[in-house]
Amino acid sequence: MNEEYLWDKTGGDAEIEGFEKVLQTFRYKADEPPTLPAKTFSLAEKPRRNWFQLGFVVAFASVAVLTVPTIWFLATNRDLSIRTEMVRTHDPVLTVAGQNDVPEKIAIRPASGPESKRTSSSRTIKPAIKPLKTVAVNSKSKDQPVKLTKEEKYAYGQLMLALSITESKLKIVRDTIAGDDESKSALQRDKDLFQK
Amino acid sequence: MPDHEMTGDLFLFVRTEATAASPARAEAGLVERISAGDEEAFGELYRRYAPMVHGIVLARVPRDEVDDIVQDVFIAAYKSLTTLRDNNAVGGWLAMIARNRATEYFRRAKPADELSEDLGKNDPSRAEANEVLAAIRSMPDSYRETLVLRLVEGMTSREIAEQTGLSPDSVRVNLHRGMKLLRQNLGIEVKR
Repeated sequence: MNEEYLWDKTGGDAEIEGFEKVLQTFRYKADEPPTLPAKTFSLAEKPRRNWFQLGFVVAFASVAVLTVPTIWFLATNRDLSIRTEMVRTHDPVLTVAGQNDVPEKIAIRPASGPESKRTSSSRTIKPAIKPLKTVAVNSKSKDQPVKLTKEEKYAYGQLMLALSITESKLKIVRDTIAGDDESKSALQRDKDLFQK
Repeated sequence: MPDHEMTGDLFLFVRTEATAASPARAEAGLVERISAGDEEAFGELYRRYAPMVHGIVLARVPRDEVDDIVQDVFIAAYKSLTTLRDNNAVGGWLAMIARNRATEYFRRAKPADELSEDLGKNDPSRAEANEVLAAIRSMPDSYRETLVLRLVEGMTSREIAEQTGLSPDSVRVNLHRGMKLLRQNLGIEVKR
């Protein structure tokens, strides 16, 4: 067998040529290429694909329109609740709306005793947290009053009472030091206020 | 190995690479034109590769079905042209589609489909052709495909390699062993 003829058809080989002649009947007969499918099915399928794409876009837009404000709303509410909780934890007085008259400095006079002798003069302590001013600026719900629970209202009342008593006692002490004889009458007035 | 032989091998290698690159570039251009909607380019692709696809399908399925499957292969290729990763390998890609379509045919085919193969036995030359083709089809895939492309479609080993994506050495080996096996199947004595 002529290998060159088998590979490149160079030269000749009777056996291979015989096979070629016999099998020639099955050889591909040139015909026209098939009609391109775009002509036949594009009109039928294209609109369906467009409708599908359009539907997908509409559905996606709807989900986005519903989701984004919801997430924004939840995020802002969560932020507000975290801030409120933080303020409540540190100082319940500051959570009350309208309490803008919280003093920035509180003067404390030490009681008489062995330790107090070391600090004979009064000292000034700054509040631990910058109060409601800061909270009101950062918080977006400035107009919304903070709702207190029953326990918080009770605690708030007790605190106010304690403050008023403390204020009265401080006044008595101040008057005593100053030698004011009306201190007794002031004490009596405070007691009357307490009983009311 | 002497120096001049080494040089000759290297020269041959370089030449082979250089000549193989130009049809690949032409293939890539053809695919780009078809993707752009050029129907004439599709016709050119069909005329260039139809014999190869025909041979691959003929090596596997009954003759009556071959022409329809060839058309199906090209339509399928046109529809999924965007999935072709390498535009230079369109021949191997078409060959793969043709093999898959042939396999798919047998998955769907009914036993009655084989009837038409026996009708040509009344004609002696046709009967001989059927016998040789049956002997080729009984071989392993790689041998029968290469032999059909060579003996039926009349392609050279180089054309077979370029169009199917096989290496030229593989084609030569397949042709050599396939011819040997064909003779055995037909009971032809080998003359030395």
